[in-house]
Amino acid sequence: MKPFPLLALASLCCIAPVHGASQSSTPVEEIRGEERAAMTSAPFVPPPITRRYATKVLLDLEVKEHTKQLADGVNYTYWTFGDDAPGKFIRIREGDLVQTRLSNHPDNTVSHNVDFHAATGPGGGGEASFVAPGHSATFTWRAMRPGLFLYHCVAAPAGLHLANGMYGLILVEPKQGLPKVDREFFIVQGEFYTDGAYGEPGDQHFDLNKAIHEEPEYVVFNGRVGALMGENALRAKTGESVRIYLGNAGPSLVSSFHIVGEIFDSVYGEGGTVANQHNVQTTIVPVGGSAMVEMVADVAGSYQLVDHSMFRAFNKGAMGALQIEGANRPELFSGRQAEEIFNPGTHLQRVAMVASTPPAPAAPAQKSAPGDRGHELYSTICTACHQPDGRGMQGTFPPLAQSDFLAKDVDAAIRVLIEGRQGPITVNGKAYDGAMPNFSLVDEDIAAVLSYVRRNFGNSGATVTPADVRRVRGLLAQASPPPEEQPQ
Amino acid sequence: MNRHVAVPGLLLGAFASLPLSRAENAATTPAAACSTERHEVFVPAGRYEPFYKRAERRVMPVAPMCLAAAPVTNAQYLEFVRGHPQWRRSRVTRVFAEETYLANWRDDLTPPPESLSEPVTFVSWFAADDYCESQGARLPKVSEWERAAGRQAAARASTPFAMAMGSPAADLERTPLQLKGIWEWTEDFNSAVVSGRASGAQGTDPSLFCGDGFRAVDASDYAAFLRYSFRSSLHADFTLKNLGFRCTREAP
Repeated sequence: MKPFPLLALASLCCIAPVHGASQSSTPVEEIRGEERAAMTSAPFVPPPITRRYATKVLLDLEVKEHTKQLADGVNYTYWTFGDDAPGKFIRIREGDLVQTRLSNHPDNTVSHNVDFHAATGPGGGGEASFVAPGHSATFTWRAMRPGLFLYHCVAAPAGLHLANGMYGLILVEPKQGLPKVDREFFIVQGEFYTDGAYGEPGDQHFDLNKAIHEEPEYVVFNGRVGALMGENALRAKTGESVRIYLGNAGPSLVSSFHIVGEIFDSVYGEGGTVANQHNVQTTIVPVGGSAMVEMVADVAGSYQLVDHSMFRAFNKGAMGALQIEGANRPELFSGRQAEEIFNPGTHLQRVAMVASTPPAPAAPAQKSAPGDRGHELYSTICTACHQPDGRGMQGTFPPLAQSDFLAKDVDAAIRVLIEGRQGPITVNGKAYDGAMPNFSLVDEDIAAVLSYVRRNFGNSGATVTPADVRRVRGLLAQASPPPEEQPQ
Repeated sequence: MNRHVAVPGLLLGAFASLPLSRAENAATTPAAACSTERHEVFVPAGRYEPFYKRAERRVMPVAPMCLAAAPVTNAQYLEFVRGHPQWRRSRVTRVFAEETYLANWRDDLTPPPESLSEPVTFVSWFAADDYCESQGARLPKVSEWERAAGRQAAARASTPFAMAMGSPAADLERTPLQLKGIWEWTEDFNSAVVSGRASGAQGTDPSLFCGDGFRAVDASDYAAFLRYSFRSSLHADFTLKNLGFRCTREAP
């Protein structure tokens, strides 16, 4: 009798499910081998991961506090991982074990650490890596989740470390990898709070007041004004697929990332692992977050990269360029096809024009009579880029004030207003490489605004007449046939 | 001093107008108790509010002290190592000072000649502590240092970094108290670290990072954040390029 219940009990134990491993803990892949972390400087990324196993990644980050150029003539003491802000782009695989050594250069003045948004653990590594100058600390973390993640210093006060440039991106590829594309780039948007105004030359310092009020002087891509302009523009060829890894280190402002003239075929919102939206014009990149965008370069030309909060793009440096080279696709985008006089015979009423804001003390007073058409045009069309005092914007828009370009060759200046202007130009010894739109002005207006500019802003030059403009139009027509006759 | 000297009565009148004795002087002008030869500054009684509050905001009184007007210089430290050979670079016990101890000195007894009157750096807490003791003094506590040189109003200035290394309290503005662009050791530099160091490198107070904004008495005092953060990253044997010290003693 007695053994029976025991036997039954025993069999019950064997049949009953084993209440063993918790369902909530993440299983970890076995680690094979070890390798140094793949890292590259902005704007390029390391090649896609090809291994199909998790490995131990050896990652060395060195923190440096050093002076670099924030904009033309503007110096700032950056605190960086490696040499630059942003720090290098690190590319690893889901499941990798990352042994991280953070070194604080002995010449540095403060203690630093690193928080990997890709790490799961207290402080993302902040406590484990906190280290004084002249020392290094090592800790290891597992990349448990795939995605595009920010890494940044989080030593107190964290906002200051971020505002000085201590950030970068780390891509944890999913096990199966990402879809293949022809070109990959990364861009990290960040702000700088300088005591001097935007563009003020010399040594600039962090301004706490502006930071707490979230009013940066600079909002830039990849750590400085012009990092993605001119010869540093991103490049692709028509027909190529392009993926851009975007990060936003803030520390304050959310980014509305847009490529002028392009549409993102796919967006991995917030840097996650699902292409959760298609056919997107502008995508949000949260502060301390990321996004990935994919597109195909269809039409050749120059494409501006912006934070669509437009004053950041125009006045604070949040502008870059993507040059797409290749054959024209007139069946997709014709470019200008026709141009003609438009005179509907009606008249429009407008609020009386107010005189432009008083110029900076150095600039001479603008000479304009009431009803001065040139002044009216300048205030309406030109000030957005060339500024009310004609000084332009460092690295982006050439000055009109005391411009050697205007003084040298009046025909060249007329041509700019007839056609617009793309590509390199040197004004007052500085090189610019952007695009000025064609405003389709009639001859009388070109003459008026050019005369206005030439007798103001410290320039001196004779008035330009509509006849001069017609003459230059004629010269241009002889040099190249009208658009209708060009092969398309 | 005994003024009841036996003198002719005629001269007593003249002596009656002599100044008070030295002991009575000290009672009415306490600053005189600090030594001008030792370049000390009298710091009157004051207050200290710990930057990271615990349960509630507390203000602690700080006793008056004679604080060195400037950090210890290379020249002064040279005298010290001459008289204390155990602190010479070639002989120092490694556990009391790490490898970069006096790294900028040419040898045991040769500081950089152009920096003799500049603050000595690359010295550990142990070395600083011993130096002060040899002078009959000690390192200032965090509360004392902050009372004297951690002025907060100035820290709200736009560039906190310059202020992080110190700004004299308002009542010490007219004294010769000098701050020389270096961090300074304090007796209890790790007092801000609640949980202490543990071998698992989890020892620093986690709230010193992102949570510190809540716990700080004044979250716009970035200069204080930098100072406290720096202190909490130190070990007593560290010898760093921009870390020196000065001594203090209670005012008699």
